[in-house]
Amino acid sequence: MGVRQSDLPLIKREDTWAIIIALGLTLLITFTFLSGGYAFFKAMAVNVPTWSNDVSKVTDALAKSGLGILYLFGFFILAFAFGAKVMGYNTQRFLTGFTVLFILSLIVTILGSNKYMKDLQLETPVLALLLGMLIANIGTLPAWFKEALRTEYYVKTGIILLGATLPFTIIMSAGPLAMMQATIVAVVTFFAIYLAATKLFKLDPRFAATLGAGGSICGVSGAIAVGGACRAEKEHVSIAISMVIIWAIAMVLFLPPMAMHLGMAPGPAGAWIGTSEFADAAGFAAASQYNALAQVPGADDTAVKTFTLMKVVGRDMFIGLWALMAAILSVTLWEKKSIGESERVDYSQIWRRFPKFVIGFFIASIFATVVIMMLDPKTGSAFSKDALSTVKTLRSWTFTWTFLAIGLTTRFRDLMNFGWKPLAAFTIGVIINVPLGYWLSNVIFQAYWMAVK
Amino acid sequence: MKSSGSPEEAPPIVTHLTRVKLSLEPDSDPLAEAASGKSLITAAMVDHAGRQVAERYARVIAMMELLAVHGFVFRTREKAVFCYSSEVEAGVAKRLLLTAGFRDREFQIHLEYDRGWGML
Repeated sequence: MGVRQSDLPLIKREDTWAIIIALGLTLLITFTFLSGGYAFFKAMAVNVPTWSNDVSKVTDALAKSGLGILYLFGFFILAFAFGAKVMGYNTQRFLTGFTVLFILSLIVTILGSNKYMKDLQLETPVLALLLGMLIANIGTLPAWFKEALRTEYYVKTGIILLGATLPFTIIMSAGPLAMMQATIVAVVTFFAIYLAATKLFKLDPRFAATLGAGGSICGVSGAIAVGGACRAEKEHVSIAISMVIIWAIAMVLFLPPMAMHLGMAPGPAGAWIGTSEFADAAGFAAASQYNALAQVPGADDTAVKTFTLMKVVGRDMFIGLWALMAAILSVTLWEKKSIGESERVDYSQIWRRFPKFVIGFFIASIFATVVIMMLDPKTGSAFSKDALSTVKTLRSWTFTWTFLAIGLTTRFRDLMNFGWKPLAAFTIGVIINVPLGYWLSNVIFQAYWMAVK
Repeated sequence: MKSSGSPEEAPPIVTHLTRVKLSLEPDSDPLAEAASGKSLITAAMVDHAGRQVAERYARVIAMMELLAVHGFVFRTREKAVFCYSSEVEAGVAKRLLLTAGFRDREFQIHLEYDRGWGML
């Protein structure tokens, strides 16, 4: 008999290990930067230079970074595998699988740094996604490899590392706006999908709510939370997840070039992606792809930052509230019973469904902000430029593993089992969500998003 | 990429766990108000409370027996029995209980979905 994820002890949850690994790494980098031993982490922050025909440029750079690549691999395989062991994954398979994933990430990063690839807009995020999808859809992946394809494990670690590079003052100033924009878009999109599904296509309201949650709140996590809270059927949750994945992949390919085509600045572009992407991991791929395409001097990370503010702070945090509302509707309105005679609703789900890794994200941000404030200006500036730059590079690697894992777990043949009605209802939501997200990000709240650096 | 080992059957997109919570405490407890020690109680009140608890236990046992037939397994904590199944869906469990004459307020159903594989 399985045990609910939320019933597992903290130490056996993925969020806990993402927090331990990312905060531990941030602490170690900070401590060694201030007291010695930082060279190890500095070496770990492997960057591949842009190259064209001159293969020697990249081979020289990799030769110089040989030890760093080993450190990078060694640190993360040990950290992830230790967490995997405690969480009960098959450690032997995870070790083998992660090794292959790491090699693939090196190949993708080298190819993504090639000038001709860049000219084709095949930057590392999209390249990782496409390569992963290609591999996953032309054959069957061995079981040992699948054990290491833990998209959520890697993306949560990356998000917490991102917290360290996002000053808490920005979260405090832009957070409320992100919440407001997210609420507007989530409410409009949810009800667009819900009403289309129930009124136009006569789908079950539970199914409609699950589709709506997937399209408006938090992608797969939203569909799973609301589907569970309102007791949607398993088949319906599976279809909602398929919709989310298919549209999320489509948006990774569509939003970054469209933002470029529309001449959007990094701040609003990231906010638009945060509003209109359907899943965290896919959204990071899209925001990273935009950053790589745009190459705006001094704002090379801005789209990822505003994306995170919109998606993580504005949308993900409220998943429990949405689930509670769905649960109340489910046992009252949809079962035609009053609150007094209906089944009791579990109010604790607001906390139970709260994505705990967000706490790690906030802690990382507060920690780095406080460290900079406590240091003298010169050391603080050096810490910001050097140590946090290392954190950022390591974060990029966790995202590359994430993007590969997204592609490698997107098996279209497993996702195509749905009828046209849910697809049509979800698509109506997309048609409303995308322009609304653009209008809010690039017109109504443009000044706020432009101010985020 | 072809598997060098034995490829496993694709897992479902989601797995689920249905949990039915059956509180062992009756809806109303005549002794609850007196439990603070501020008011007096009588033997009749204790007798009434005892019968309510017995009735509640009997209802819980009946629900457990019904759910056991459908493969639920049971755990207990916090003055409640928790019935688990990863086969029976929540809606089916609720219909079973209602059809057997139990009321909505006598149980609390939780349904938890999990990703079937490490997707998005």
